[in-house]
Amino acid sequence: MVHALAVSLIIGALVLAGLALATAALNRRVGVALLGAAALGEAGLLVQVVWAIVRLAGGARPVGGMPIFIGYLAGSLVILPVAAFWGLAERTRWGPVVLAAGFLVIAVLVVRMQQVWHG
Amino acid sequence: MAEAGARRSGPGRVLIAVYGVFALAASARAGVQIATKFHEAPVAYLLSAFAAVVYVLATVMLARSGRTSYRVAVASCTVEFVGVLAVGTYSLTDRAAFPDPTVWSGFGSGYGFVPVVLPVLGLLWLRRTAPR
Repeated sequence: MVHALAVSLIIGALVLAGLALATAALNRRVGVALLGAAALGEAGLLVQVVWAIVRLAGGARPVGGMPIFIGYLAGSLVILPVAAFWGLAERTRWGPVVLAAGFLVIAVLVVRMQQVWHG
Repeated sequence: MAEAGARRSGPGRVLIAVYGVFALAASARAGVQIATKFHEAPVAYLLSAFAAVVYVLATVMLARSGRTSYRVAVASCTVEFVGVLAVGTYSLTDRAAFPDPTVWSGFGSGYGFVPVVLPVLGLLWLRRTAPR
């Protein structure tokens, strides 16, 4: 995996989780800013998935096992859209908290993906 | 606090989201373990599958309104809590049975101990939103 991309994704996800928690602390609902943040995160994850597919097609194999890696890869794309949808439906400050949880899960997923890829 | 949908609003919405993540993670993990290396540690992998079922059940029942789903949600959170404590203890006393960690081994240490905190939060939330 591209180390720089993974590191940016992890740091970015943590920053966006902080942004979401700040939104909740200000007693605001999920708005355009947070939805944009989720879209940005999703775009970064898509780049990572495309890169992984290119590497896998080129014969590279994750040391920690193919099924687990594919699972993480697919899972990484599902989290943010579902969190955005679920958080948007909540009309209180708890909506942004859902998105914060989603971003934290993404940070953990990318760390795990790195571990599975490098063994 | 008996209004319809109260269980899935406010903090409940975050709780259901976290339960959903664990339902997904535990199911995927158990699926991979059972499909690829079941013979290596059948006890651990069957417990993984059991944990996955409990998480899926808890997620769905927390999200649904109604008295029956309330009871099932309480039951699944209770089973989950007992499960984390039992498997956590068992995994520390008999390491040979758990060569590969499950969601609940070491009281969920592989998942930042969230598995041991989650059922407690779930039960507290269910108590606050109990139907009259």
